[in-house]
Amino acid sequence: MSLSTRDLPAHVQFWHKLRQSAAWDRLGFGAWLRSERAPSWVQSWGQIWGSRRHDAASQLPLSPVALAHRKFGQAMIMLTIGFAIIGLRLMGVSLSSPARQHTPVVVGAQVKRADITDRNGVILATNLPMEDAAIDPRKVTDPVQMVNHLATIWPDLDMVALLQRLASSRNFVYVKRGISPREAQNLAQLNLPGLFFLREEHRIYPHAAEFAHILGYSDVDNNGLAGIERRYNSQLQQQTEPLHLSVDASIQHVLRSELLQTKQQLNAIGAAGLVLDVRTGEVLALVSLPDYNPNDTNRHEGDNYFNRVSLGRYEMGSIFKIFTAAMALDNGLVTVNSMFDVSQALVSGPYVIHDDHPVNRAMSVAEIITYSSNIGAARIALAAGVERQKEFLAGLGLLSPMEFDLPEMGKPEYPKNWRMINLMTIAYGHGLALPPVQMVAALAAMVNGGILIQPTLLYRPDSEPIAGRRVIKSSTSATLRQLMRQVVTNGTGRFSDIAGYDIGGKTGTAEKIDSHHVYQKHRLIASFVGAFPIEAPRYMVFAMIDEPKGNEFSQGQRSAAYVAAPLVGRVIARIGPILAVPASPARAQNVRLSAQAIAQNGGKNAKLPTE
Amino acid sequence: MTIFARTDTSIMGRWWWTVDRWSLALLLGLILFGAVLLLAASPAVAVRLGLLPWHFVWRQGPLLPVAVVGMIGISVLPIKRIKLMALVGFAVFMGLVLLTLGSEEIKGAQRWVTVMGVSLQPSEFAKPCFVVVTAMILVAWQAHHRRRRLAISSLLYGLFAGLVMAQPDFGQSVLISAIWLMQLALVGVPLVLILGGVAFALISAGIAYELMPHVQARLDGFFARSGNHYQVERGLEAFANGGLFGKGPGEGTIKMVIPDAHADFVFAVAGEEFGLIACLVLIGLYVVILARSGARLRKSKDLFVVLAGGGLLVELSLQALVNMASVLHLIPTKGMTLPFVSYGGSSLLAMAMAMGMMLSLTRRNFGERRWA
Repeated sequence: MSLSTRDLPAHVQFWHKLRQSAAWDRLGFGAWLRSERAPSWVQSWGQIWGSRRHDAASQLPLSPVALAHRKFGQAMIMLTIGFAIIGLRLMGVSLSSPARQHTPVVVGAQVKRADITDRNGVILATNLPMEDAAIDPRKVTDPVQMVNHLATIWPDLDMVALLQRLASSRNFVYVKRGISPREAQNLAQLNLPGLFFLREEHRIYPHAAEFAHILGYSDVDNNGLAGIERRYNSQLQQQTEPLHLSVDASIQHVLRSELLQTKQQLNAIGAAGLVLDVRTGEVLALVSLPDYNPNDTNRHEGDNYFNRVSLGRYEMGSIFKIFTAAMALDNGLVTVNSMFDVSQALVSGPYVIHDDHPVNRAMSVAEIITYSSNIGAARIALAAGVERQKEFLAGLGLLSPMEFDLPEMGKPEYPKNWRMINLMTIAYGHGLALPPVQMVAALAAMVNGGILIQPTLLYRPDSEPIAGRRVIKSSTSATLRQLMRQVVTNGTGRFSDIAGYDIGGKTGTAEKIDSHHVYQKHRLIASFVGAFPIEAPRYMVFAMIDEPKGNEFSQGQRSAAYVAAPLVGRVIARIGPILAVPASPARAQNVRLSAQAIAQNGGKNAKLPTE
Repeated sequence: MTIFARTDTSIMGRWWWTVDRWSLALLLGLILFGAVLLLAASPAVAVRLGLLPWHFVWRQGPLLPVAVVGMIGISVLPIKRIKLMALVGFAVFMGLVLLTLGSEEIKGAQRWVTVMGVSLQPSEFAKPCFVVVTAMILVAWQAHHRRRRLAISSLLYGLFAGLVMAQPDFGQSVLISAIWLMQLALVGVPLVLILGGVAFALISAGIAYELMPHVQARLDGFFARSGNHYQVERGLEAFANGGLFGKGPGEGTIKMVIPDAHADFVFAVAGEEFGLIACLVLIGLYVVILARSGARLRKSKDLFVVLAGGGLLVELSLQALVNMASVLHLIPTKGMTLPFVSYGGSSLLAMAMAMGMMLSLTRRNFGERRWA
């Protein structure tokens, strides 16, 4: 049976005809390739590509060696084409103008890193030329004398370790990196053989620990390892103009010093705080204690590198009642005057929900928030139901990881199986753990008219439009502001009430969980969030004290009302004038008085003047 | 060229007149090029790492004469010895590759093993041995046992590539696969099977992408044109800075910022300090070695010589291609060295071994009727 070309697929027929056509031969693609007339390299090309497994002339099958020759020839040609592509690409790259590339600024052998400034241009991170002192042990004549000399200049020098390193066979030993040019000068005058200096740019953080958890730090090789330095590493390596942050050095100082004082007085294990512009989402101050000095990152003590504001996840306690009220009000399920019975402890299966100060009657929603009733909050949540609560919290972005300008960012943690008991406990802030910054961002939306704005550590020029998403009605937000004001005037937030500014806020005292998932009565997270001026809030101040011990500074108490609320009051009294927030008209005359009172009290908060 | 008289029948005398002197000279030229670039690029890297400036020079320098002597020494051996050496070498280095799987990680992979105080990368040495052993297998069962030879060779390939993959060294396993498939093509394995092999490789690449974080980062870096392809960007700048004639030896600045300037990115340093023309000359060296040795291989009547020599030659060329292409951002970075030029003792010595074998295979042995 013979096959005719007509049985073949169309494209094969086409090629078959083409290759047999006279035009093909005339174009030189046919026999000419292998003919004597072609140059030798064309001939070998023709031999290699001409036919597959049969000899072109005799049509006999190729011997294995001849086949290998042919195939290897094909491989060689492909590799050569590869090298040709490399060559062309090389020419393209080499002959392109270097101007359009961003060449890093090179000083000596060290690459510069852009400065970081606060919102007013105060330098938070910069570079200084410094010297690295090093020793070539082979040139040292008397190691002991040398180490003694060095120890007179640096008393904290580990002499034994240095002697050991000098005795090793290495030919290069760092003594100390990042010493000032003056120190190097003094050392050089000692004329110690083998000692020499390498000049390098070093990263300097002039405010030391003040901005530690915001800035992070970078290593000697110009790589950001934490914080802003890490998050914006490539930008800092490449750009020359400073990175402009939203933080304000003076606000940061106030917040940190107040937190530091309270943490020490109450012998707490940690503290955290945040000041947020509720209209732009800019973070003005962010403090987590304990912190560290980014100029000296070798010292790890306890959890001083742990950022409680963004990486730490906490059950925030009663502050969550604001969300519970917002959900119920916004959905029209309740009004501020709806009554809920709080006289009986709430029993759900094996769980019992109590109030710290039980009241034997029904309470309105306003009272539940003002006096922070757990039973009341749980009952409000029961009116809404699991699905509505989940949907509302998800809408506030509290159930998914938040985008933030720090690489140290914790993810919210909540029950996979959201049961009735979870509904009730989450209503008063237990059962859902999240980074405080994430909660504060959502709280800002509760008071700013209902717009959720992504918080940022980068400066936002006024001209830049703010991307926000409406999460509650503007009227709900207004109601919440009234409720939060009542907390401060009549409720658990009384100790945050200061002259000069009308603060609205909410306390939150949460019990910490131990490793066996048991709540601990005496290990508390005491926090307070305050917004001011509450009529039309500009700023939100959040403070959290981790495991305060009750003592004379807090009237023997360790709950948020006595620990965190007065702290936020003091912070607002100090930063309000700096931020040029006009004082509330009726109380303007008291502003000076209030500041004086704070100075005299030295932080004791029980007797703040009120109207 | 009168080092040896034509009538000299000593081993070296015979070697001199039978070896491919052009390829030998070009290979020595490559090693010289590498030495110059070692002096240019490595001090800056050493200082950045807090080492003495000449640290890498002291470590690599003494290996250069070792490589030259080793390469010539191997090229003197007769083909029988080359086969023996490959067999033994493959067994030994495969054993060592197995050992590496329990060793500590360097740059995200376990590739190094310490033998008598010297840490080396056994997979580099196993590679040329594998090429020669594959050629032996393909020739040994060539006549009537095509399935058997394919099965045996596949088994060996699977073992070797699997181990290298497990290190994990994705680039190296791609290279090994390419050489092996080329050798199969040379013995006439149908294209369908080879394409099937490539499809298999692509699927394993997909799995590698999913399972190996550093492969994922590299591919993402290449395709997203963002993220962690810092070295590549700086490398491209280096070529632009160098222009036609370069900035002059030691004048480059890019080597200060590229962490792998002395190793995988040495080509970029060459581009900046010696310029386009020198880089083209370097490419030319590889091309001429390929053409020259290839032409000699294509005259050999011994199928084993074509398979083994061809495989070794493709190893050299492909590795150079892959390295240069990744530095030039044509393909994702593979962590592959530029043969004879990049810093790295294992890679240098293993490549010298491979080229020594190839030079031995391309010698004109008049005693045996292998040459047309």
